[in-house]
Amino acid sequence: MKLSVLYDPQCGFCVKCRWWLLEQPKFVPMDFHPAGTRETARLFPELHTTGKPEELIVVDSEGGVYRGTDAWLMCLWALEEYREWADRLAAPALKPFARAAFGMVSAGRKKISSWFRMAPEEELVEGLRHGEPPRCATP
Amino acid sequence: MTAPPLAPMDPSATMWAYIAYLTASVGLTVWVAHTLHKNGRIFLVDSFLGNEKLADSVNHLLVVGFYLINVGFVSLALKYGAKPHNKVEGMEFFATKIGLVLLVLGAMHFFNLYVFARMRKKALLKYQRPPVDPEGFLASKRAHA
Repeated sequence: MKLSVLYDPQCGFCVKCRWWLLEQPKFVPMDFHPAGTRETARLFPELHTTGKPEELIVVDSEGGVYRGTDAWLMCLWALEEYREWADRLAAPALKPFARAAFGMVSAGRKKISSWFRMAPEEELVEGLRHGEPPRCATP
Repeated sequence: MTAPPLAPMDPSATMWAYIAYLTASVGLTVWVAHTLHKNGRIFLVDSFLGNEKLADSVNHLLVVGFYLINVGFVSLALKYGAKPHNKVEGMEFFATKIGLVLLVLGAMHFFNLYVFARMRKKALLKYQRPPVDPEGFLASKRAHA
């Protein structure tokens, strides 16, 4: 079992989450694909949408598609330290709260990115391409 | 200063009360430890995913710890509180102390069960199924599954 995560590369917060997820110890391997790019469209033709990517999508190795809150819960389920949380949040008692929480964060992700000055991927790449490499100073 | 007892002093009653308390307390500790050792084993074997040697080793270590704490508590609690001077006070002493020991053993017992259950749950976490179902399937991926 493997999970493919399609995230919004134009949202700094989403990019930050993607790198954070990459570093976490996992039960299930995950790979990450920026939504809306040609490469991702080639890998997942049915999921390709023109215009801005609107929601988090996770695809498992059997082609099962999860969107929005369910996609987020699948990401948590894959992580060793958050699998129990995925179960709790998916239970009927907490699912509405999980949905509300994810909905709020997802809708406000641009604001969150600007509050914490998190740069989207294109900006990071441009910055690295044009910036001066740091000089190694010998003591 | 405690009030003088209503009944006459009887030094041997004190000793008998202590002996009865220690015998009953240690006996109860042994019984609870034996129950946990015998019936907790299956929890541990499951938590360690069938590794019986490891489960037996951990089981034995847990029992040792259990004895250390409980016999220690029983010994310390002997002197704590009112000293019995006669048969009546001896009976009261015995009942109170045994009640306390039973409550502590009961608490330890449930705590052990809780720890076993958590260990088992954590070990089996790896094999759990996803918490949600997919909303649909991609034809392109399904062909390769």
